[in-house]
Amino acid sequence: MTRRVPQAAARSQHQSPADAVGDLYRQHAVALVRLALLLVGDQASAEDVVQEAFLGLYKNWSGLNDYSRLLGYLRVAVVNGSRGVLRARKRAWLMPTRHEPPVWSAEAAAMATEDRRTVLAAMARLPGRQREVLVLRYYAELADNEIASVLGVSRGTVASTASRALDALGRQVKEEL
Amino acid sequence: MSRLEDRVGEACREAAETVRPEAVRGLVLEPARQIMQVQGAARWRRGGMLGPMAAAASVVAIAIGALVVVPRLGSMPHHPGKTSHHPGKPRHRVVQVSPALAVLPKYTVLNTDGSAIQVVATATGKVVGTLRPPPKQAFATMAGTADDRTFFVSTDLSPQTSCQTYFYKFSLSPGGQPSALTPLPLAHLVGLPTALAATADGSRIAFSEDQCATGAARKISNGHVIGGIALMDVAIGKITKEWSYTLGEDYTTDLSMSADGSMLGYSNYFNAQYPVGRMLATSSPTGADQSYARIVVSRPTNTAIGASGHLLYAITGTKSQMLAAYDAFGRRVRVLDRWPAAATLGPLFADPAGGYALLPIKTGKTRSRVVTMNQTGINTCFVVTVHKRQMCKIYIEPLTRFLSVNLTTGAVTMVPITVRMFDLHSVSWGMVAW
Repeated sequence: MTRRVPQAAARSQHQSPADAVGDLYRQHAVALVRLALLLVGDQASAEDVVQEAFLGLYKNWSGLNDYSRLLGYLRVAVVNGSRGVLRARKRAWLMPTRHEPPVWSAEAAAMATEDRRTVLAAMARLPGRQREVLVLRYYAELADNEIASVLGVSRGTVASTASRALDALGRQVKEEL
Repeated sequence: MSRLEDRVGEACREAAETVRPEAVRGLVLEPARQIMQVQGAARWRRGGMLGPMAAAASVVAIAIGALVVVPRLGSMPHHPGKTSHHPGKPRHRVVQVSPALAVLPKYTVLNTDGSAIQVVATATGKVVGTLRPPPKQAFATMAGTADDRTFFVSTDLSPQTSCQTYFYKFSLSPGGQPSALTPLPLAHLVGLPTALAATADGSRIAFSEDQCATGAARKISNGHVIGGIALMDVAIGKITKEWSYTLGEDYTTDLSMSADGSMLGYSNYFNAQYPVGRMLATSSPTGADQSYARIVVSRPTNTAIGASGHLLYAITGTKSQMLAAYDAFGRRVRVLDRWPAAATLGPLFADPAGGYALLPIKTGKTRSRVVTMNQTGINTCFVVTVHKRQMCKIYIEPLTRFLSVNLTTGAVTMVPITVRMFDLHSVSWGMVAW
């Protein structure tokens, strides 16, 4: 089987795995940490998720067969890693967790405007899939087919999930204000 | 794109921009990272890092290190974050330091109906100790100190044939067993106890006492003094300061004191119109509380002053309820959490050490059931007639749960204790947990 090696990914293929992953990290870590932050709420957990994603990539480097999909792979890993963090927090309901308050909480004092904080807090109350769709669509600005690829669902599911999410969000925000 | 979609995008971008590129830590690839994490997890499991904290604050620390096994994959999976097992391939063990490291108070001390104080192991909900009031008395209010072992309680008469207040002290053994009640040097006053607070070192207590009417019934004005807040030096048994409150203010049930005893926080009414949260410096001279207390929040349902005495935590709101911190100038400086209006929130108890506040919450609806009069196990009920037959209607309250609020981070955690209580705001009910 012939491996597809696009121009943009050619360099990655010829570097050592550590160098290639390091390069990718320098290019994409901030964006991915920001994406994870919107899903898990705090930067420390978001960084953990991204580190795990890159570590997974590094471990599997020798088995890669499509270097053009590295960023997509990382996005998927980040979304799945974020789900894992949220699941772990649910399991740990018995104990207060050591993670920082979510960035959308007022005590984090990171966000300036109440309206945006309210919107994000309402998003945090949405089901995980809906929140992921909104973040990927309106923050990462991915097309529906790209979101479908990241989440492993059909394009129609993305559209319907986004619609339901916006409905629910609209209701919550209206109640909040 | 709709207005809401714009707002979602803007909100996400603003939140995302709080991640500063220079603050994102670098990537550390194995093996150093794995070793570091394994060691870190082991250290947490041994409790070595939590030892001093546990000794100082008498809290139990529970550490969970989640082991995640990431197999070496032969090809790029469609969903790489999901784990799968490939037999025969070498496995990499990656230990994630779990975020679920926990610190819960070891014991929660509850006075649910005045007939007993129960010491409950917070992690299990098991009652490990019970303390009964003296004969013909009922527990009214309770306060704890920063050592997590010394508690003050006030009692009143049961049945309440006259208005009397008695003060006691007790302590908990390391196993959670309460000692016998020891009367304070100033052990008895005339009036009904409505709130109690203590300094972190237990050297002073503050209490609110409502005077009972005497003589023939008569109309009194809103400006009539009905009770007061007093400061007592515990060792010498002397009241050092008193601030009176009026009928228009009503008595307070949520008095709290800063760790050093320099500030009091409480709520009562403003001119019989609406509740207000007040902060009062204990250096203020004796007199009317309205003359010296500063109103920092309007219409709170519960308040508790922080250990530093700089912030008053208050629950406010009708459409939705919000726990927020206010400074002495009435500025809202921090919102810790929000709850729907339907939730019934009880008194807020702040830890004198400044770490946590405990908040009871009741979220369900009261249900009722009609049973036969002679059904066993029912002490009191409302008698109703059903098909010409007298039946007993009982009301079943939803369970009351307890939230632990980290006053530093705002993290809110459900404590695994539930009780069934009728009135979260009953003055005969108090609760402390550290």
